[in-house]
Amino acid sequence: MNEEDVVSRLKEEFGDKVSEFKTAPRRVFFYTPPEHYKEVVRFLAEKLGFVHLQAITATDLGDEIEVMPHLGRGLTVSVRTRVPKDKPVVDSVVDVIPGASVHEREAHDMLGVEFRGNPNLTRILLPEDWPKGVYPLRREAKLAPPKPIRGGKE
Amino acid sequence: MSFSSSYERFFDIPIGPQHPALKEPILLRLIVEGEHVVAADVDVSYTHRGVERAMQERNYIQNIYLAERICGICNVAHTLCYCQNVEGLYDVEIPSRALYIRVLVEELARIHSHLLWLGVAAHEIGFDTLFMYIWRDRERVMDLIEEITGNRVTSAINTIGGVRRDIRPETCERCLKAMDYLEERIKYYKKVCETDPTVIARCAGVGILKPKDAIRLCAVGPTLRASNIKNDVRADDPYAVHDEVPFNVIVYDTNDTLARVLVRIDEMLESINMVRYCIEHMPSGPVRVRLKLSPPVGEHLSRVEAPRGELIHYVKSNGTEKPERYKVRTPTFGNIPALCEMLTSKGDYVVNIADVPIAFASIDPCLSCTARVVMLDREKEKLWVGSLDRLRRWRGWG
Amino acid sequence: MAMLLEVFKHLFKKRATLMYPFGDREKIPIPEGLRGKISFNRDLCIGCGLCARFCPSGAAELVEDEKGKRPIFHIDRCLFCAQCEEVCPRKAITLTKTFEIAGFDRSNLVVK
Repeated sequence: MNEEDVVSRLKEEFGDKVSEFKTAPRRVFFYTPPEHYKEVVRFLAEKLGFVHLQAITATDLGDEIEVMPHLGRGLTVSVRTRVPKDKPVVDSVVDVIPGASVHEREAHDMLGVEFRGNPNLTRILLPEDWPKGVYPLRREAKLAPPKPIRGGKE
Repeated sequence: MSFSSSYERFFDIPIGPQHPALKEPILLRLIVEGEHVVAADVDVSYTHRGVERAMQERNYIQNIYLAERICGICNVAHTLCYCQNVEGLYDVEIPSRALYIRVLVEELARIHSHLLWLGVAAHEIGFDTLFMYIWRDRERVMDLIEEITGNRVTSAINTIGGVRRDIRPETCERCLKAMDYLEERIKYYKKVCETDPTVIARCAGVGILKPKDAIRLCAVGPTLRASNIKNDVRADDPYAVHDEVPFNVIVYDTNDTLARVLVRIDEMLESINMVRYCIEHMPSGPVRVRLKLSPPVGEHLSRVEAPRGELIHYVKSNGTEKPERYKVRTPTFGNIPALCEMLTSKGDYVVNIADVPIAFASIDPCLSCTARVVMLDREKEKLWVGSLDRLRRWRGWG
Repeated sequence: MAMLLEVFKHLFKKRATLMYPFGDREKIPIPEGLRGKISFNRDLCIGCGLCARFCPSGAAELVEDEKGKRPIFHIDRCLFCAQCEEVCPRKAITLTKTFEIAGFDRSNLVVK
């Protein structure tokens, strides 16, 4: 199926719950609000055959956090959803695609997104003694410049 | 999973982060019952360096070299994916000669990476003779890469807009001679791996991943193709000139470590043919276009078949000279759920502790690629030691 | 077992290792275009600062001298990527074929 087929199938199934479509050769991007996020992903995985999850990208947009899984093997479909930063809760898609577990753990570690329904949101990329509540990829986290390890004679 | 009341039955054994069987620091937590491994979990936080956050602080040209250093072995794949990504933001056409040179260097890097892995896998099963011979032949490929790009590792031949150097006719001649030599050696190694009793005893039937599980757990690369699933980014989503250069997608159907070895050997033979095709059909013309420093506002996603699997980069730009968000998902990270499944004993299929190093090595792990998210100023790493107490509080994995 | 014949034949072949630096130093093939230590020509420099702007590791640092602005290069931070050579509008920077630059004193690793 090509990009126009995917767009028309999504529009006929979900009507105005999906919006902001952008297409490029072998790429489709669109937006859905967080309440319908899981059923859209389930439709894409079970009815249209996009079973392979490539990655889940989470971006800090200032007041909101955008969570975007990328699905597909030849044609890539990216589903965008935005949640407010002070309460970033989104449904987990682990029961639809079990391979999403590592990607959700990474988004949780780096940006603090809560995935409701994921039984194991433990640390995967940060060390175990990292302070809770500090999320490195958020804009407010400050970066310290590197210190020289042995003071050279400069 | 619930445990029985005799608390001595299951033991939690950590392998790593520093261990002689592992090349890079990783913590493999194995739950064992006697000699059989019952469950596994993986902790990859020991090599994270803050690359994604560091990329937001540097401009697009400096980021080429940062992307290259995500991994030393797959450095051509990372720069290729990065440059394709940023060129997609500009929406410009790259000259054909540059694309042929990109594919040539990418396939040479694939041959080098698979030879490196084959030597390391031979070393993991104790076959050091094969390891030494393979690494001697790998030096021919390293010399070729040094001649074409200027450096053995961290080649830096891709840039935004094309490639930085042209290739000379004498180099093409040497390349074709080296391909003839390598083809004969690789066919010999294939015969060794198919007939030697040590290799077959250690690799056949070990680390089984069924096709249904491979699809369900989103495995990538040779791990997926050794389970009879025909998927390759170069065929499904062609980039550069992979739609013009002919090649076959290699699959094997025995789902075990020996199949992964044979998939990689056959991929090397395909790469040799692709290199020959690129040299013979290289068009003439310019090798780069000049572009402005700041790309237009937008986002782009780019995928490349690295030697270890499918690599995906995503960029979002806001019109300035620094990217707003850059995301990298490497193939080893995507293979972690499949790895944990491979190391679990179920029914008739048992995994012994002695099978763990070769099964782990068969997904071709590259931990430098895997953990590259933000750093603040932490310098200390901690060694974690398992305990029965932790076992009682175990709540599941992945 | 499959490799026994091959291993036996290798008893009569030349050694594959080059004994660098104890004698085989000249046999190492150094290709044209190897990216080694930086060399800088002060007379061609115009002080535009592009090399310092695009250096990924901060090895090129812009300072003032009696003729105007110019870079100095810290080779201990250098990645040998040749981005400065590529972007210099007057071709004042070249990367030579010198790769033996290890030493004990950090002040030897600055190219002025």
